[in-house]
Amino acid sequence: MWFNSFSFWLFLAVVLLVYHRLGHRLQNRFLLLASYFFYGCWDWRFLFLILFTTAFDFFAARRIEASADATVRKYWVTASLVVELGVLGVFKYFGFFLTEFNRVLSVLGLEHWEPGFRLILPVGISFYTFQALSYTIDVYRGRTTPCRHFLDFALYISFFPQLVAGPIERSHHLLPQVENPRPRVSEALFREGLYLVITGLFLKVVIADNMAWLANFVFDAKPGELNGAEVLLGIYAFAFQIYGDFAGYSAIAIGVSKWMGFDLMENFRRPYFAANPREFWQRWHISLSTWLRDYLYIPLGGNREGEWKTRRNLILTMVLGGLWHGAAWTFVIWGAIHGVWLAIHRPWFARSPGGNGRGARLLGIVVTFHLVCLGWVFFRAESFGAAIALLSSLAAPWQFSDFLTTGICLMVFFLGPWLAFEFWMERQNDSARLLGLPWPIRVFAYLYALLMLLFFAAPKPVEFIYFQF
Amino acid sequence: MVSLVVALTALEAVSRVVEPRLSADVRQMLAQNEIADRVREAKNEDRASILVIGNSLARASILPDEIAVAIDSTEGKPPEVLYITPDASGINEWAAAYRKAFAPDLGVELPDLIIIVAGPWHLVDHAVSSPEKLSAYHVSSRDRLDVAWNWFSDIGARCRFALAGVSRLFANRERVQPLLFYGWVPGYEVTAQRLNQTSSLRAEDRSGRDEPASVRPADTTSRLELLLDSLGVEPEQVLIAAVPLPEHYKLPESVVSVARARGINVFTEAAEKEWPASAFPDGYHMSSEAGRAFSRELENFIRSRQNGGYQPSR
Repeated sequence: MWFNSFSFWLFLAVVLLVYHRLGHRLQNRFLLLASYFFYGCWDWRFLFLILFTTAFDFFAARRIEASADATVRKYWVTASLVVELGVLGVFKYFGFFLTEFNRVLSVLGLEHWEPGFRLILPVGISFYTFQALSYTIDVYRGRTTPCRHFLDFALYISFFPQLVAGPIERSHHLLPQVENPRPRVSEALFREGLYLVITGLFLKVVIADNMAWLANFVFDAKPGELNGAEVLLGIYAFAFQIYGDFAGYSAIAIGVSKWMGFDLMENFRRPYFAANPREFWQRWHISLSTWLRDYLYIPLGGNREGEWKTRRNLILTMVLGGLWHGAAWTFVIWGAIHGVWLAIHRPWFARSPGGNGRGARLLGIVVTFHLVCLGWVFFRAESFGAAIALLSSLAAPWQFSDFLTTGICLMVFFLGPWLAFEFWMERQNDSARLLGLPWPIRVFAYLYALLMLLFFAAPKPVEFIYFQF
Repeated sequence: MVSLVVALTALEAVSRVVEPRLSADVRQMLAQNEIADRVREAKNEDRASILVIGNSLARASILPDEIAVAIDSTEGKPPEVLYITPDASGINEWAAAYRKAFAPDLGVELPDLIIIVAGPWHLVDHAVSSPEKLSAYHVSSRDRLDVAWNWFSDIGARCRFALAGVSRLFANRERVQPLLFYGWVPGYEVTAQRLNQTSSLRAEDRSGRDEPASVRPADTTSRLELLLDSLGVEPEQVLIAAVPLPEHYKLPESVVSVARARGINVFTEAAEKEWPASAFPDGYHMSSEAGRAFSRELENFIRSRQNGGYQPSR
């Protein structure tokens, strides 16, 4: 049940109709049922895995709270970490490590080990595992009070709008919204939700899916099939595909949640207007980057132990962040590129944190965008070799072709108005500025978005990229 | 919100006005609404009528002047040859469209000869390729609920079917992009063909050239049975003809047995023999010359089976 499918919107309509007729406790129970139904539509068997995660962390947090003994508290938080990361490791990384293990066996001249079974990756496992982990760690750190009701906690873990692809919520932000009665959905809240849902659908259906058409062609091409300019176009197309895809999903999740009185955290804030890597990670997948900062970078020592250790921590955090995305070396390299870049940029940023004027900022934006694109090549490529081959193709003669002219025209047509809109929001420094404008402008903007959704959706809907993580 | 709804309603009204200009396919589907009137007018003029049901393959291969002589006309008046042949259609669209125009309970005049022209898989049950087209142009209001309930396997398709029933803007939404891009984006046609071909090849490579079961045609013929049972004419007034394609083939046994069980003739000889490659200039549809030859073979077949041709039923 994808957010860009009719089934989802029908499901949501039923959920909203029932939800707003119930009191707070019943709302929670109903939302939990709806969330399990939503997840079960992919594969009902993995509901048992969510239930296990939920039950174990609920119990672990209660044990942590109940004990004044530091050793017992540490034991339970460690148990939570081992169990959660163990489950994630088994389902997500077993195949990866098996392949690498067999590679070592090959080098040693030994026979491959075949386990005789194949594990399916449960959708959204990386997201809800991190959300569950943040809860037990926060309880251990004393930042969150353990949840009293199991069903409330179960809803916190499996709240359907953000269950399969985030934003990864923190217990101190989402849990109180689950436990306490939520505000009635006012007209203003409904409008905010509508704005986010429409922009989210636009990003996904109009931008991401149409860019996927161009990007897939380039990334699936055989070496030598394309000239340098065509490859560059494909890389740009993927940069906007993944942005539209993921930012679109997040916007829909946040918008839909608003219609139920929930306030989820912002996950994207015009990331391609970032002028350096640090700023990029303050705008891209914010819920993950802040999670990595709070639960990995800072515990590793953060910037408290000197420059070199800070750089090591940055690289390590980003490499693990890369591995979080998927079990493949390409993701590790993607993380490493960002880690090294952040480490190199750090002293530079320390010298001039505010940038050096408009020209320097513009240059920063262009350079940052292209380095981000370099990372995307590894992120999207099937293998390290394929990524290198694609990057080498950039050196192939640049010439105009039908694909190139069509691609440029389509990018201008689909991305031009959106980037102009983002530029305007950036200038206003307000992501919801449109809501404050006079109604004729709003109607025009919504009408434009709706007609683009209607007439220019890609012929074949593309699955959300982040569902596979 | 209200302004948005008003604007969308205005656009819907505009879309209904410009609808016939969208494509020849749309004009053709809209013309289906007048087909029963044209049969009635032919009867009033003591002329026979021949209805050809199929898709673009039928249009290319059944030439009206050739097929018209298959029927003995009254007082030398040529029969009216009518077509229900929407592009990219199959048994779903044909059954729905025929029932919309000639359902038995409508009490309308029926054609004197009905020729159903199909390729190897058009007559067996398969998923509806475009719920929007089916809803907006082919299904009658009487059949709408039954079709929505029984002809689709997923909710998404049912929603599209329902929405297209009330909005032409929605039903024709996929026609706007090609209209704009083919005309205005340089190199779009070549690029679109290249990209779509590559993506299908890659998809085939990935799936090991195995078609998923959901898109493979079934061996059942429930829609064909629905169409045949809705025709309302004598079995000898109906003919199923297999249209020649670049590769010769036989109609599925299930189709032939369903037709024969109802006493309906099936003409497969032309499709079972080899045709020269020049008969299919675009690799799929027959040239007018080849279509003429096929129409003649069909005409001979009809005459041989009817001992002197069909008589207008009136």
